[in-house]
Amino acid sequence: MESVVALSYGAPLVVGLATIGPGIGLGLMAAAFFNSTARQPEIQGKLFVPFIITLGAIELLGLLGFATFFLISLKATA
Amino acid sequence: MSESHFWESTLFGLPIHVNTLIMVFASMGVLLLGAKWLTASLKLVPSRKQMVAESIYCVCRSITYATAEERGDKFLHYIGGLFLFILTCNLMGQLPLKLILLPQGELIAATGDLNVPAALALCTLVMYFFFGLKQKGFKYFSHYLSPLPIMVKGQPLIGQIAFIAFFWPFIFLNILEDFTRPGSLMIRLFLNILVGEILSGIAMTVAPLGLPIAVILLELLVAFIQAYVFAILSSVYISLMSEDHDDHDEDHSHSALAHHEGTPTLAS
Repeated sequence: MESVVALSYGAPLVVGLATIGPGIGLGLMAAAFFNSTARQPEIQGKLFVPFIITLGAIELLGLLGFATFFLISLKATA
Repeated sequence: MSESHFWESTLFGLPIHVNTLIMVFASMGVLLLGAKWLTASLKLVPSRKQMVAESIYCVCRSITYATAEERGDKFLHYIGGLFLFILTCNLMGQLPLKLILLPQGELIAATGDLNVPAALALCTLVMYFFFGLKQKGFKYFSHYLSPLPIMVKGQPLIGQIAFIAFFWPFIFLNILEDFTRPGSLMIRLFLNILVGEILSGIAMTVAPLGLPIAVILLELLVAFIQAYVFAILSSVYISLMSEDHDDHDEDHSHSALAHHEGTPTLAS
C-alpha cells in the first residue's frame, strides 16, 4: 500500500525528470537545424534525414523514463 | 506488460498473442489489397489512382536514396515494405478497435507488442548480414577489426604490436554493435507505440471529451516519424554494411546535388 502512495506522488516527478534531458537536447538540435536552414535554405533537404534520426534517438530517452516508471508501477500495484 | 493485456493462446505448443496476430494479419491484408487495388491498371499516362501509388513509391525510394543513392535500389523492396508495414500497423492502432470486445486483452497497434518490432529488427539484422556478405564475400567479416587496419598501416613493427595490444578490445565493441543496432530499433518503435497507447488511455480517463483528440493527433505524427526512423535506420545500416570504400569519393557530390533537385523528399 505504501508503495502505491509513494508511486502516486513520484509519478509526475519521474516523468518530469526523465523529460528534462531529452527536452534540452531536442531544443538544442531543433535550434541548430533552424539556424542552419535560415543561413543556407538549400541544405534543409540534406539535413532532414539526420534530423529525423537524431529526433528518434533523443525521443527514446524521454520515453525510457516514462515506460520504466509505468512498468515498475504495474509491478508494484499488481 | 501484465497478462491481461494480451489474449494468450498456444499454436503448435508455442505461446502466441492472438490480438497481435489479428492486427498483423489485418495490416498485411490492408497492404496487400491496397497495393492490388492501386496498381490494378498501370498506364503510361497515370490516372489519379496511379499518382497516389507512384507518390508512395517515391517516398519509399527517397528513404533509400537519401542514404545509399543508386545502390539503395537493391534493397528498396525491403525498406519500402518495412516502411509501409510499420506505418500501416501504427496507423491501425489509432482506429477505434478497442470497441471490439475480445475474450481477453484488447486490439492495440501490432507494433505495441514487443514481439513484432523484435521480428522486424531481426529481419533488418539478417538483411544487413545478407547484403554485406553478398557485396564483399568473406571480406565482410574484416569490418569487425575496424579501427586496427587503418592504425597499423605504415607503422613500424613495434608500433603495430602496440596498437594491436591496446586496441584489440574494439573487436568486442564491433560485435556488440550487431546486437545494439537491432535492439535500439526494436526498443524505439515498441516504446513509442506503447507509450502512445498508454497516453491515450490516460487521456481517456482524465478528460474524455477534448484530450484524446490531441493525443491521437500526436500519435498520428509519431506513427509517421517512427515508421520513417525505423526504415531509414535500417537503410543506413544496410548501406553501411554493403558499402564499397574504393569508388566512393569522386561522384558523391554530383549525385548528392542531383538528389536535391530531382527526387522528392519528405522535407520538400
